Amino acid sequence: QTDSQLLQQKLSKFNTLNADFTQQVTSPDGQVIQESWGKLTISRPGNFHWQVTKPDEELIVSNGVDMWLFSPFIEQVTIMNFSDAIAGTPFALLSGADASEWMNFDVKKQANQFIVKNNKNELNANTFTFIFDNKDNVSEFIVQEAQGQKSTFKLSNNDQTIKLSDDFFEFQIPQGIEIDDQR
Amino acid sequence: CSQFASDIEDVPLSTNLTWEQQQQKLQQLDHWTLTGKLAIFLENDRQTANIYWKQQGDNYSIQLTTFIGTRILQVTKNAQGVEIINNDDEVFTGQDANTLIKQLSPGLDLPISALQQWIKSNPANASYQLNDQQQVNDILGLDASHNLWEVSFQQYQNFSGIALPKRVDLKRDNIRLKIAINQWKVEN
Repeated sequence: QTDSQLLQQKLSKFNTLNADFTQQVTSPDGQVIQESWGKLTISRPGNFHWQVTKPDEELIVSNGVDMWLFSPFIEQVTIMNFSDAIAGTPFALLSGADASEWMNFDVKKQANQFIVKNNKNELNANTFTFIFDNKDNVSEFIVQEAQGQKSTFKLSNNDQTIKLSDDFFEFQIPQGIEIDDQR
Repeated sequence: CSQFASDIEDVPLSTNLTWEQQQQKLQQLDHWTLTGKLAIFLENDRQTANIYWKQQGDNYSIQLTTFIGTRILQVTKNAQGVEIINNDDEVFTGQDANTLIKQLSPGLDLPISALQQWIKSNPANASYQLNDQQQVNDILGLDASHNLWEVSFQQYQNFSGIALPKRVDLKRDNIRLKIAINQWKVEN
């Protein structure tokens, strides 16, 4: 069994993920340049709800077809095709990529970590690392850019028993919000 | 533990410094770091990014990142001049950040050299008006390319003994910038 198949198997064990996240971004020289806190909910395949609550609100919702990126700070929602938006990112793998998507990634296992690299030999391809805890839950994932900038997401309080309303992965556009439709 | 104390409560300002005393403090303050959010409103486009700005004397390092933490733009200034790295890791150098940024993305107008002082609510040699707490309410000033900007300050908070702005808005013609500052780190 290849490392890629093992990672796919581990990721497919859960069909819902509902966890608090902390995100910390460090620049190549190790400065913490961004921090945020919030809630990440995934219901595979393709359903995705990412609510940043601190330092300020930002929301990404996807029903697997459309993806809405809502920024109250600029009173705008950007709408994209789900596949274009997250193709080639760890979120594509987390939220249930199909076999053809997995073909684009090389996977190397090191203890409880899986190092994933896009093999479409892009010049500055990012590296993703998925880390699993002893209960085999995804506890951390890291996006590392070629030049060294690193974004680390730590997940906690994963509650997979949560009952989600059926429009939880839809986004109702509030009144007066600018719509930036990129589909 | 996280480097930035993120849930500082809004302490009412008790420092009743006169404006002259406050301005002197702002003038002397040239080693600081801020993190926050930047919004740019152009005629028919608006964008937002996270901003990290580390000032050390006349030098600075500014990072604009997406909400998932990937780089949009890095602007650094040192004795040799200004260097800009974009999200494709292409490097551009020059003498003035704003002219360089405009070459990179014509729509983007960031008066960075003037902002080094304005962002602290220090008018430097621009004209200004005070609010009734002896703090700058707004500034009217020229940037390095001699464009006139209106800068207004909504909210102040005390950071290590200095009242610094939490919200800065800039306006020129049909460009509007909005900066929400979550955290100031002051090294005095």
